[in-house]
Formats: sequence, structure tokens, C-alpha cells
Amino acid sequence: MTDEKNLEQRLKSALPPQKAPEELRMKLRQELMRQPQTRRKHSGLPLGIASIAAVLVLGLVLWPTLFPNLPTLPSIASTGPVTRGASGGPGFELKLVYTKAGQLAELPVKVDAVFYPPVPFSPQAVTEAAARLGVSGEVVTEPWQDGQTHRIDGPSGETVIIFPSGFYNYHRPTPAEFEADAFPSKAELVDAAKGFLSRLGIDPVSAQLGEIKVPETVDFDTAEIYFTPTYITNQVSISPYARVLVGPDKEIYGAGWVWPAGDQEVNTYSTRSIAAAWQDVQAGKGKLVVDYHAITGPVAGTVINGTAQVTEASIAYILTYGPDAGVVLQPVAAFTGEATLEDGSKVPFTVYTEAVQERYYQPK
Amino acid sequence: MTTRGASYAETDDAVLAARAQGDRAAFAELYERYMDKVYTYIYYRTGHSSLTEDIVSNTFLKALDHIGKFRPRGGGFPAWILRIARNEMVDVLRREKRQVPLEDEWPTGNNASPEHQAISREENAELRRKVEQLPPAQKEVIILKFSLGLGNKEIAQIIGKSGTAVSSLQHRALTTLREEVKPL
Repeated sequence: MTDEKNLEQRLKSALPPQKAPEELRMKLRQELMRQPQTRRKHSGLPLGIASIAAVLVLGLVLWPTLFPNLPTLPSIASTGPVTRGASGGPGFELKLVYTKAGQLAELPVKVDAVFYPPVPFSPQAVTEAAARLGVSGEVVTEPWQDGQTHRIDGPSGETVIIFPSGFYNYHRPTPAEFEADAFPSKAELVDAAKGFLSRLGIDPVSAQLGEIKVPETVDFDTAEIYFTPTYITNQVSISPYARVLVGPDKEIYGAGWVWPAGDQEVNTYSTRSIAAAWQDVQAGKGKLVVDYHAITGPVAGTVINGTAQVTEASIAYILTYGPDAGVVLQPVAAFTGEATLEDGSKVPFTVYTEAVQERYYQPK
Repeated sequence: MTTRGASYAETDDAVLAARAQGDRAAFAELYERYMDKVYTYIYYRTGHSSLTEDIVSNTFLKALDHIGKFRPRGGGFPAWILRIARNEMVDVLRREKRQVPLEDEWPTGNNASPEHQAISREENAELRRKVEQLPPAQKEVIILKFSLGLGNKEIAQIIGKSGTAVSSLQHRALTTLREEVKPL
């Protein structure tokens, strides 16, 4: 063989044809079939459906071989409310009819879910958290809902509690009267709150500043500073978060936080189509996120009706818990827009549903 | 995996393209025929799986939108779809302002024939590195020629140069590679 032929043969060997991943092939084929077509012939429809069915059936058969080890995600249906202001129930039900303003963009082909170690719910966990805050005492375990809490009461009235979800609460009494007659600047309040995060072992650099509520007078004791993790893009659940209560004297008088920590495992999942997610929302299977505080009463009945126009769809994240108490930061398909309620008022909303393909979820 | 509609399996590309304007199954057959070629081309050019998947997806969606503009001349449907892929890739890279380096480990050929496998992984890796170091235009011709098995006429259609220019680029690339790669 001549040098020329030898080299050409070696190039063919070194640059072999590639086969597109089956997952991409299936997803794109489905997408192509879904695209609007102005002049569809009737004869093409059965063939298209048969082809899609063949792809799907064969894909399901091959799937365990191709992707054997992905852990399942908690089903969205099993998660609790994430809406701000709804923890005790808003006292009414919001019933929205969803429409979309135009065609919604497809979700990314793949998304990540982050798995954390199980919640460190134990007497030792609350002892360690209390120690970071300079609080020591005996651990008291008490019944709470269908579980229990662990609490430490300090000698000066401080309290540190851990709940089964990994939520911590810290409280210490405020003085009878503050010497300061006004709150310091927001920047100073934020600095004080960040200092507190450091004491908890949360790196302030990883904490994104959220809402800041400063009372008009010191009579209301404390300002509230909210943080969420910077590494989460488009977070729709309240958790993870940290809420720090700062007094006019820049001392910390309370806090609540859920902040997953420990070794993370990131797994990548294939998404389902935006059309499938949208069907869930229209069928009432989505989880609605509205700031119920923005809806003024009184409500003449137990239901407020309204229409909700979706203008955008994207991947967002919520914090969920697996059956083994593992904490999962999982992706959801989030639809956002503005709802018009029956009294004409308008409120922004997000409604979300499952983002990844059904086989990745734990049984509902 | 066989997914194509049996009635179109033997149909000519040009006929399929004409029918694809009103028949999605015809387009699906073209998709099955050329998916791997487009994927191979973009993967070797970008060296990134996720980027490749995005570009390949956009390529076929654009092709579907513009299938009515396809005319069976020049390099035929392969040249047409690969040209769309090339334009899409250039747009994406420009938009993201990315200089995409090839991954250290190019694919080693899961689908390689026994003959391919006879050549050692190390020798292939060395040759791929040399291809990667070629000027972009030369590298592109080498990928289209030896990985996709296209002729000079089709390559010329895809990269927008004359057949003579393609021959020249290929000649210069092979000369460089011959000098730099030790003979077996």
C-alpha cells in the first residue's frame, strides 16, 4: 500500500462515523413530528404515529441498558406547598384557568438534579448548631405533628430547634427596650446577617441576598433579611433559604434556615417535552406558586376564580425529600405569567410540574 | 435501530424531499438517513457532545422549515443538510463567542470495524491530534472526506468553495499529516 493510501486508510480509522445518541434521536424525532405542518397529507399520519410508537417502545426496552443507574426523583405530586404565605393555608382556594400567550420554548434536552445526604435530624445535629451560636443545654425531644423535634433551651432564654425536614429555628429574647431609636442602614443589617450565616457554617459568598424587610420603627423589634443559595438558578420553592432577624442594635434575635450541605451528587436527566408539561398544567396537576399576601380580602366564599396567562416556560428548581430522607434539589418545568382574578386584580404566578421523563420519578 | 417507514426505505432523496413538504413521514425518512452524518460532522468539528446535540437539533428543525427551498442539484440532500448544519454551527459558536477546543479524547469509534480496531488506539489518537492541529479549512475537508466519505463536489457545496479549492485543501492537509505522522 502506498503512503498516500496508507494515510487515507488511517484517517478513516481515526475518524470513524459517529452514531447520534438514541436519546437525542428519539427526542428530536418526536419534536420534528410535533412541528406544525401546513399541508399534511392524511396518508402520512398513520405512518408517523407508527414510527413514533416504534421508537418509543424500542427506546423503553433499551433504556435500562443505556441508562442503568440514575436514581429516581421524588414525584412532584408528593411534595407539599411551596407558596409563600400558604403554610397555614390562605383561607381560600385559587382556581385558575391557564392559557398561554404564544408558543413556549422547549425545555433544555438535559437537566441536572442535585442529591444531598439525608437531613441530619438528630439530637447531635441540634447540639452542634446550638454550639455554633454559643447556646448550650440539654436536648429536649418532643412530639411534633407525625414526628418529633429536638430542642435546646439556653440559660438566657435562647432556643434552637431542629425539625424533621432539616429546618432549624433560633430565637433569643429581645431587650425590653432598644437603646437605638432607628434601624441602621440596610447594608449594615445585611452585614450583620451575613456574619450570622458564617456562624452557622454557611459561606456568605454562597448566599444570595433576597428580600429585606425593615420596620418603620424599632417597636417592631427586628428587621428580616432573606437569603437563598447562589448556586440555584430560578428557585421556585421557598427552601432552601435562610431568614435572619436583626435588631436595631445589629444583634441577631432569631433565624430560620434550611440549607442543604454535605457531599453532593449531581445526575443528569432527559427532559420531557414542554407540550407534555403544559398538558399537566392545563389538567390541574401543576403546583401553583403565588404570593398569597398579595391577594387582599375579604374573600366572599372559599374559592377565587381567575385566568392565568403563561408567557414563559423554563427550568426551575425545588427542594424535595426522597424516601430515604435524602434531600434533592430537583428540576421542574415552570410556567410563569400573570393571573387576573375575578375582582380584576392581577398577581404574578408560577405554576410548575415535572420536568424530566416519567420513568425517572418514584411511583406516585 | 430501524425506525423508518418501510414504504420510503428505497425512495430517492430528491423524491423524499419533495414529498416532505407535505408529508412528515417523508421528512422522518430523510432524518433517519442523515442524522448520524450530521452528528458526526458537528461532533468532530466542535468536539463537544452537548453543543453537538443542540446544533443537530436546530439543524433538522431549520431543515424542516425550509425543506420547500431544497432543489436537487449540486451535492444533493446530504450537501444541503450539512450546509445548514455548518451555518448553524458557525452561528452558535459566534453567538457564544466560543473557541471550542476538541476534547482530549475524540471518539474512538464504538462502531469501528475489525479493520479499524486493528490500528491501535494510541496511533489513532496521535493522528486525531494532528488533524486537530490543521488549519480549520483543511481540518474540515479531512473530516468531511474521511469521516463522512463525501466526494469533493459535495464538500465544495457544503463549505462554499470550488472543487479545485477542496482538492487543494485536501492535498495540503495530507502533505502535512504525512510529514508529521510516523509511518506504520
